[in-house]
Amino acid sequence: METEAHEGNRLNEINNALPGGFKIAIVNVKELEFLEKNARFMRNETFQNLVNNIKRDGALSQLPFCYLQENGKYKVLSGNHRSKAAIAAGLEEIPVMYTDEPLTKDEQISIQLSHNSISGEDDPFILLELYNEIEDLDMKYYAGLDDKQLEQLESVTVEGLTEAQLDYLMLTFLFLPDEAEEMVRVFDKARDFISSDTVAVRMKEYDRLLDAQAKTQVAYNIHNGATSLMLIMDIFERHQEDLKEGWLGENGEPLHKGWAPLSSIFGTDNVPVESAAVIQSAVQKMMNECDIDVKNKWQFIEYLAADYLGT
Amino acid sequence: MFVGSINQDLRALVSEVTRSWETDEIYIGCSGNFTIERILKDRGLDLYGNDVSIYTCTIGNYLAGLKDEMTVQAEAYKWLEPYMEQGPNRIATLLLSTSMLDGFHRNEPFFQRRRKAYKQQWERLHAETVEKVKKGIDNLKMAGFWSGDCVEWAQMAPNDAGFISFPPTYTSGYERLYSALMEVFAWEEPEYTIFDRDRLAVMVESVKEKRFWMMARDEPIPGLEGYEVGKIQTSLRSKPLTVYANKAPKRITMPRQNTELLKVPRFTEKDVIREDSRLSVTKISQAQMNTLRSLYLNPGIAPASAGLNLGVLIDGKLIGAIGLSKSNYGTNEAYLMSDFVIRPVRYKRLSKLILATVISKEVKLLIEQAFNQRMRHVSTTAFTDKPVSMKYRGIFHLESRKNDPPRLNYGSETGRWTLEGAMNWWKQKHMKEIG
Repeated sequence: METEAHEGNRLNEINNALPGGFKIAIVNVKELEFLEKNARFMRNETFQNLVNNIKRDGALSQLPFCYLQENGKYKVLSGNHRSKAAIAAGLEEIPVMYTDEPLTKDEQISIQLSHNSISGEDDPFILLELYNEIEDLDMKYYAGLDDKQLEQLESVTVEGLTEAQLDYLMLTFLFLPDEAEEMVRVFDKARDFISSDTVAVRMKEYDRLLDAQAKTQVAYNIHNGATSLMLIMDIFERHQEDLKEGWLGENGEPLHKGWAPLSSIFGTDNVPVESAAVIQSAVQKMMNECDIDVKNKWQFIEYLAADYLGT
Repeated sequence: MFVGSINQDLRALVSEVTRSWETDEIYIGCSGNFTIERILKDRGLDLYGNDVSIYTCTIGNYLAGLKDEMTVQAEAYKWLEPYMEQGPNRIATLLLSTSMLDGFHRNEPFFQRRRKAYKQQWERLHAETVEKVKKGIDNLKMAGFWSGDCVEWAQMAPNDAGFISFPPTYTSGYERLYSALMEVFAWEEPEYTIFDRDRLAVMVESVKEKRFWMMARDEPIPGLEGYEVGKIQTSLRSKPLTVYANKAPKRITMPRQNTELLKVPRFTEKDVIREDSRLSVTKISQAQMNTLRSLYLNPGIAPASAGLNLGVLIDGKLIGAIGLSKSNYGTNEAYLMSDFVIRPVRYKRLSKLILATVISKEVKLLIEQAFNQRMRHVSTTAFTDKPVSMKYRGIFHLESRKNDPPRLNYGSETGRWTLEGAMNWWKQKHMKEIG
């Protein structure tokens, strides 16, 4: 108790001697009030450095500047990060310099800004000399600088010992809300223009695609998005005959005057090679006899089908 | 792909530390991808390497001019036999195999598809990799290479030579990495003892007898106290490496986040939410997010990179920010890494408006675009020892409580409403001015 009273007296002596109405006090951190609006920010790693330095010292080595308000709280005008770091370091009391003279809002903001804006600069050469005089690794950390930042690390270039990468093709889908393309067309387009990288579809189809993708991922227990798209395409391939719905009516009548994929009839694009050879020679013969021309080879199938049906 | 442990900062230290060594011979324990050797290759030194892995021994034997035999033993990979000639051909085959055989026993479509692609593209991949290997080991000659235990190597190395080793940290790490290669290829595997703390202690005693030596590890090495010459940390969430040497300048490196100012006006305590006020979001960069986090979040929270960062705006002015990533726990799930409100503001409970924004249809679409998959759910964690988080209550569901550290897991379905709907919900339920 005597010591505390003695220290209190010493502090009073110092405060009486300080000019400008400034005073020093040891305050409980609960009595501090921080700035709500502060342009100064500190990166997490810098803040951690500060916390570590305070932990090492067990105290603040620079005093925050506060304004003692009528509500009894010390508003920290300068040294907000320092004070917060002290709290993070576990200090319950910190020394502050403060004024209890009434301050206008302008004065408070000016003090706040001036303590950050009116500050010195470092000559990089002298800074480096001083930093290099520090022998101890922990003290280098304490300085808040490092050899990389000070460009003291040797520049080393080592040619990579790595492998070549798989070739991938990237397709970018842009989805426009009012575009009325159909999903199948998108995939057909993607196939036709596999080297082009932009295909547009409407938003609804994008939603359906993602749903189909999510279901496929669950069903096959996979996470890779591209693989699920491949599986969707595989399923599509296996159900090509369902595309008939697009061009054939319920009673077998054509629904439009466009084209139909042969795979929607045969369920596949492929025939065994031996059969293909027979078909090829028949098509060639029909062309030689001018029954079909080179642009309409498909009519070969129509002739055969009509003949078979007796129409 | 060979995953090396010698980052750029450590490379710089290897280069610098060894310059002052008065010796023509350097022994390397655990050559790995020969990074140390490649740093030192033009110094006119006699380099002696060592390791036990199939990949490293293949390179080491070739560079030291030693013959070794290796064949393909797995039937399914016999097609690799024409690519097994000792030298860059075999090195390229092994290097490609480290990637091709990742997920060796897995038969999910992704792994099948990748293995098939490697086989289909092999000719090109191999030819290109051979060129890369030749370039990577260009002008690198080893005076010797020993396939064997690195602790024994440290004991065998002459005491008047230099010795460098960055020994493995994780027990059996090597075995996991190369198990697939061992199944596919047959070779004369060297004998060695699993590296652990006891073996490290034996190694340290031998290394300290060398005239010049250097070691590094991502945890303190007992027995080398007082020999610390460097501490290297390249990212905020990575463990710092401690570098030890008997003669070296002292160096430290610290991670530094990129920051970038976000030139968007703030929705301050003077700004008023009107009847027709509009809520919107804008994509921001990670560096901009870092700045906002430093400004408005507790600086004690270690930051991490998010896959998608968004600024939240009212009438074009910034009110808060959101950082989202893909969840590690669910396929169609996003993880909310950070969400916060700027200060000072006029209104209470703006954090609920930020959360309402997170589960809007517009943000759902942005998440799905960013991660290329359906995102039905978003989860997050509140680190608190309280039974509930007032911030998430009433908008996210409490999904679980965990300990060590005490935390609450919250979640919500995504796309619950439009941004306009989110704003209306917040106005009706929460909008209230402070004081």
